[in-house]
Amino acid sequence: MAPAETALQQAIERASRATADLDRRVFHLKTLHDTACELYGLNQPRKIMETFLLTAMGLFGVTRGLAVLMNARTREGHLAQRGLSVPEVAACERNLARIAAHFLPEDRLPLHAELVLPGEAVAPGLLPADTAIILKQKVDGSHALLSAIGPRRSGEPFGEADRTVLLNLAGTMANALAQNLFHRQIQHLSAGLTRQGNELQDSQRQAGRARATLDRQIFHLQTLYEFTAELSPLVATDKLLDAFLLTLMGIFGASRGCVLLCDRKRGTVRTADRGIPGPRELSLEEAEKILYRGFQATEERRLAPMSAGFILDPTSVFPESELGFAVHTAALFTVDDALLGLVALGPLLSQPELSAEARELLRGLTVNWMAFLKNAQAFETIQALNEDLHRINADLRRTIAELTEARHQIRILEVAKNRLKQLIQREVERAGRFRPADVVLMVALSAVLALAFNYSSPNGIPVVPEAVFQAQAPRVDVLTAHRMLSRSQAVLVDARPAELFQQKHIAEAVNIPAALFDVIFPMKLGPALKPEQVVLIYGRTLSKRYDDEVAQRLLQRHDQVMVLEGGLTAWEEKGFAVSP
Amino acid sequence: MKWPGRLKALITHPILGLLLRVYVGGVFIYASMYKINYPGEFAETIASYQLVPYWGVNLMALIMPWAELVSGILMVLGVRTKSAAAAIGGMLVMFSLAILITLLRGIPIGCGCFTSVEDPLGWGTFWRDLLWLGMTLQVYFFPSALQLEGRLIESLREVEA
Repeated sequence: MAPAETALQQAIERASRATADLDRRVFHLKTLHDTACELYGLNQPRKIMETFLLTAMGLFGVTRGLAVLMNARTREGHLAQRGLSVPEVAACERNLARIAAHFLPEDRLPLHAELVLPGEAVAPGLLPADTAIILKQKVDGSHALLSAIGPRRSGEPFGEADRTVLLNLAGTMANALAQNLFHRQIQHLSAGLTRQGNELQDSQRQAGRARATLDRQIFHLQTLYEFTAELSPLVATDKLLDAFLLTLMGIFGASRGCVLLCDRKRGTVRTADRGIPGPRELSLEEAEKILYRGFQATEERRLAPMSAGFILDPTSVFPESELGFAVHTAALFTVDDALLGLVALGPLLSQPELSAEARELLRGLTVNWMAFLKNAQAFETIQALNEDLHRINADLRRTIAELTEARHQIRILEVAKNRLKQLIQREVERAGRFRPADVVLMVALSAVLALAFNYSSPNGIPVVPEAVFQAQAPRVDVLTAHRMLSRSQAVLVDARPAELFQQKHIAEAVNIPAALFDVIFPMKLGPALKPEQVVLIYGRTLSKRYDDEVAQRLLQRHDQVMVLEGGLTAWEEKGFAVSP
Repeated sequence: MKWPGRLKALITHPILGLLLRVYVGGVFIYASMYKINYPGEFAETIASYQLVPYWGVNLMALIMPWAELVSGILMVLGVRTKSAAAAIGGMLVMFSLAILITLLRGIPIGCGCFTSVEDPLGWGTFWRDLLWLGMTLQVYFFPSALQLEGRLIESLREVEA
């Protein structure tokens, strides 16, 4: 053969080899391209690994192989295999953590595909014994890939080109896995974002509802606060009724309404109404009938203390003629067993009927109002008790005063008793004795009686003789008198009583006793007495001035009347004659 | 019981005391009646004794009958018996002395013991007054029955008990 032909032949052979090599390379590239297209189209790591295994096994005529995708952080792995027996698969599944720890240490993961010959892998029992090639590669920041390729069916060893293709194929799989994992992560994040978005929307909706609820509750609380502030200073039940009704009508926009409060313990009925013509006065029996019908139509039928219940269809329960208006909303309330009542509102101005929230607000207002009502009742009870206490105190004070007065009286009586006792003792002692004071007392009593009797008696006499205060008649001495008698110029009169005259008298004297002057004077002296004659009078004792008495009487009838100075005694002393 | 004892028992007997009390008191009550009604006549009687000063005759004529009445009533009732007996005894002593002096002076007047018109004063009048004085002394010194004051005191003692 010619050299040229030889050279040509060699060139042709080289060209043929080059062509075959190129064809193989093209085949390999096409396979890689197809595999890459296929791998990038898959959406599950297990599918990607299985596709890789199938591609590698088909490409290199391998009978079996496995691939493990490990999560370096969680140490979780996914196994994909082809051609392994069931015990081998189970052993691999069981040894996933050891395989990962041995082949894929976290700190020494290769960034690119790394081929490890079985002889270099010191891991007996972890992988199938006939593993021809082991590939390990870092997929992303947290995942690593281990691929184990079994022997060729033909028994040929893997050449350099085969290992290169296998590495490229493994790299493509790793990229596909990385992309897939990234996509999965993106999808996971997207799903999370979507879920969070949904949750956020739900939260926003819940927040909106919560805000609405909160606003409503704030409104309710504000209303309750204002209602409470308005009721706080009120302690009288009637004022509470009025304030409660006005507040309800204002809040719910009712033009008419009434509140009825029935106190079974006290047997009283109190009402408050607005917008109803004429006052409403209900007896306890009428109120009880209304409440009974109301309880029959309530939602709960029975109310616990300090609770309120709405009446179903109040318009039919309470005819307009009964309460004076068409009842639109009505609720019964029970403070306790003895204190209960009814609140009724007429048609509302702003809405046809109360909403659920409004009903709850009405219930809350009623319950809140009942607390004030209970306090007012307690206050009234305390007030009544205080009044009773004041009354009892007044009675007590009066009793104490009476007791004090009685004690004072008892003390006075005791003193009086002691004094009376002393008086009795003194009188007992005096009774058997003579007391000069008693005699003085008797004389004093006699004097008083005597003077009083003498003052009123027709026979009364002056206490002191009148002559004491009368002017005395002229006096004449004995010698002059004797001379006048001897010349018959005078007449001598003895004024003493007849007994004394008869006992002794002046010889020439005529006896005219003072006591009998009016009788004896005319008989013995009257006619014979001449106007020029002087009448001389004598006669007096220690106890009686007879001469002055007669002289005073004679002076009323005669001008010349004189009293003899010294009387009978002086006459005798001068030695003139007396008789007998 | 010997005679002195009987006499003493008789003299001190409460019944005798009661009788003497009623008698002497009754005499004084009776004696006061006319004098109270006719004080002028009684004043003349007092003046006739010539023992009372001129200015005191009327006053004595007014008071003495009432003193006789008051003391006589108290003696009859048995109230302040000793004091009443003392007053009556004093008046009887006074009357007796006045009678004695008048008798001794020989003044011819009536007694004026009960009324103004009576028999002339004599020794019988004097002894009668002494007898009444003795009765009054019995009442003064010895207890007598049915004394109103005694019963009243007994009642007061019951009240006190």
